[in-house]
Amino acid sequence: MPPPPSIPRRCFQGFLIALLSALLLFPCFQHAAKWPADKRLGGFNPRTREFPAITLRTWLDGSFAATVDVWAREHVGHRGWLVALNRQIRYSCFGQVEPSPRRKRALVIGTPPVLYENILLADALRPPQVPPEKMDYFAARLRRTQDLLKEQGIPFVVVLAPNKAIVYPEALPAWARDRVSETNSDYRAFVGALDRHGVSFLDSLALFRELRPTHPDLVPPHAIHWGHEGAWIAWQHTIPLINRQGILPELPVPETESVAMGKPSSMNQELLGQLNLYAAPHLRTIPSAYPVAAPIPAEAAGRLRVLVVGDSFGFTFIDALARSRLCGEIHFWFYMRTAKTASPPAFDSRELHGLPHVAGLGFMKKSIENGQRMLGGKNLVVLVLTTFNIDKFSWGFDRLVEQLYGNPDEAAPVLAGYDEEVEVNLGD
Amino acid sequence: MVFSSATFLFYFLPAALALYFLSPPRGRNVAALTASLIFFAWGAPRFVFVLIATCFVDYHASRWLPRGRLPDPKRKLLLGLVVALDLGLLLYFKYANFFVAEIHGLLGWFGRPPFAWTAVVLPIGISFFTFQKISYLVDVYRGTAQVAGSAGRHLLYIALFPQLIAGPIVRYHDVAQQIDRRSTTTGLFLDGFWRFAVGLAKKVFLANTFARLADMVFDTPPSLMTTTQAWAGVLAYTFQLYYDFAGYSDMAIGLGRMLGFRFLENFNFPYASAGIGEFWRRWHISLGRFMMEYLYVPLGGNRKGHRRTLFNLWLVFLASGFWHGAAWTFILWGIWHGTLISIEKSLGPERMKRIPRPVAIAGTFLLVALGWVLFRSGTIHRAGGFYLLLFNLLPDGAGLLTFPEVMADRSLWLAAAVGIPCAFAPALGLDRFLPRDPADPDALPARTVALRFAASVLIFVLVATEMCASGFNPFIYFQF
Repeated sequence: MPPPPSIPRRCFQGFLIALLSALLLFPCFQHAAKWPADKRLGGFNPRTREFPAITLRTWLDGSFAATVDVWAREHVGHRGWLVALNRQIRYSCFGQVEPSPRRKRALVIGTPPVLYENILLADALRPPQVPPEKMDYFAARLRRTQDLLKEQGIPFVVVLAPNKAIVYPEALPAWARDRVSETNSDYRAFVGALDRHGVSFLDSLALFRELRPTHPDLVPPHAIHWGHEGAWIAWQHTIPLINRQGILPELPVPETESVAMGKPSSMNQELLGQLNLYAAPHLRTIPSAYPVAAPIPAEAAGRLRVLVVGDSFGFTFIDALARSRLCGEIHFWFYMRTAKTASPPAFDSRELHGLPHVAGLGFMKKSIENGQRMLGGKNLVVLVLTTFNIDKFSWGFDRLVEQLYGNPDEAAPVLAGYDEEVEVNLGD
Repeated sequence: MVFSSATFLFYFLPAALALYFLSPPRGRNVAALTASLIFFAWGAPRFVFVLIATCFVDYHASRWLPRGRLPDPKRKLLLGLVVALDLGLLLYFKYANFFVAEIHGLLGWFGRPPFAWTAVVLPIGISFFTFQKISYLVDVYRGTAQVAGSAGRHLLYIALFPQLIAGPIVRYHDVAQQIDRRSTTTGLFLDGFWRFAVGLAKKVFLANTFARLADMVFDTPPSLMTTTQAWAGVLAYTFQLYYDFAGYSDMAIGLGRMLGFRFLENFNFPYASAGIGEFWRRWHISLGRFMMEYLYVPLGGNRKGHRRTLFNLWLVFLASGFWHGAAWTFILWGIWHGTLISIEKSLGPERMKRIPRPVAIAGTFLLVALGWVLFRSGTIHRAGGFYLLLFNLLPDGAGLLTFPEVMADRSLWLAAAVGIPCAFAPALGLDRFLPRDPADPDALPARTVALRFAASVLIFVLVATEMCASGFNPFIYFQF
């Protein structure tokens, strides 16, 4: 039996234990007292806001424990500071960045100051993931949608959103730059399928690659999505596709009067906001390009009543629609889950660069009634989707059009295994 | 509940320590048992009743096991019955799905439809606590330990939360006295926290970093990889597994010390072994000891001739493989080690000594690493494809497209630079630079205590940042 430690030694060790106790209890204290204030994190939404309720069933099947584990991780005191410290260490010591705590997908830092989201980079690096027969099947369904809408007097255009890693690969780290290829992506295969089936579509990737020498801000350095100028150019090139369908009277293509450089909008620096760093060269703000639309003939103003169905690329796209002043009504059915509206005449793009006029209309699930509501009175439908949403079958929009306007006998046969409902994370 | 989770570190651990140390010394066993049952019931609430009920049966049966309480044949029969009950539960919970799947396969072979079967859920930690239950019963039967003072003390030995889920497998006679009487000093508590922090660091900084490469390689079809990438994945998994499990064992030992328990070591630089026998004396030491005492020796050990010794060894490793998991890959892994150790035994110590030690260490490491392919692969088919690729018998695949991203990860290189030399420390003469376990933590110089405390706090904070920033990542040995 060793002799007991001396009293000063016990006091010293007791002091260390008291410090340790404070360290262990501090997060609980901060969570309960909300003091000192935590750091706000960008790009992070807790999945569990309230403490999970316990029932005998949830306790016995283990789901209570699983939910509490997630809750504890997301609500631990001073979580914001801890996450930011983790990001800073990873960034400063290992050159790593990750967008938000709940996402596994890492960001990739390009040659300063360009940031890339890994999900789109991965798409440009790996072989196509969607089987060709699935591509073909989806393209055939879109052709059917186009035909059904044409019978209703509504032109339909698919706008394929670009992949930043393919448009601007030169800023990527060497390991990725040398491997990025358009042919790797599902995008190119889908373009081929749309072409074969005669679907009217805009290949914005090809367009952007052609324009990039003269337009460095089509996808801003800190953005995932196309910037305001990029979306504007995409819209300018969509109008001839509408005119070619010959359903509506000829629409003028609005000219670009000038491009103003201004403070980037949240869409233009969304990756920056997700870095959650204390300090980094990337944190400096880079001005974005905002197109100023030239006036259009008075008789063309407000002629279009547009429904945009799509993923997050749709937000800047509806800004471009509003900017052109061709549209009298703009609705955006985001992932076929929530509805937004943009009020076209609310601003002059010469005076106001940003996008303050998009309003949420709330949750709008896919149903016949909502389909009638969203399509009622419209004279243009645009489907905007990016490469990793190709296999989502337009989130059910084409099936809805079939239900509204189609004859079941003429509908494309359901391809086994490819018709399941797709769960969509609105955060994406 | 996982040690490296926010629930454990920020809620359970402070509450359990407060409950334990605010209880009067006589009530600390009750406090530790309460915390342990909550810990177990957290992830597997239904099975806590199974645990309590079987411990109750074991304890009451054990009261009749000491010599003199019953005639020897009846004692033996009673021991057999209770051990059979414990093993029966393990067989049912862990292996029923496996056997049913095999029977379904056989029925399909004969063109018969499978019968209806609801998959059995595996209670977490059952492999470990079943062995502890057997240890208690056999120790009492052999007279190497006395019957536990009460059913509660017996339950505490089985369910003590630091070692409940993934070991070390504590033999009853090693801790029997500590359950009845133990002293907790401030020095031991701080030493326990230091050990816990070291384990956290091994898990979070080393094992999880190696896991990124290992997971990428093992989750990719061999046809898409090159031989070099496959070897990189095998090496990454070899170190991931070591630091994951050794990290868990450190945490368990550290938590035990914080509560006043001294568990035996579970790892001793296994990759620095110069033979498979030595490897198993250094890797998962508590399992090796259990197998030796409670299976190898009862089978006859080395007392029944050379051939029988080899067979016994082979059988022990077969059982060890099957204990690790209900899959053919684990059985093959056990056979692999059983065969290697039988060959080593046949060669004899003199011939083994003739092999230069660095060569023997490298060879042992290679053989062990090859065995881990079976451990990780999931199916024999997949393991087979992997072996073909490792030995360049498959045409080189297209290469992992995102592999360069992993190789560009500086944290992986840092983990390799720290983790690999540390794993081979005795062979490289580096072990003298590594912190040693003090016999009496209160006798450590105050400066060392302060430095260790500061390092522990730093590790703890860094782990907390990592934990908040990432998702759930359980220990590999939890599945066993």
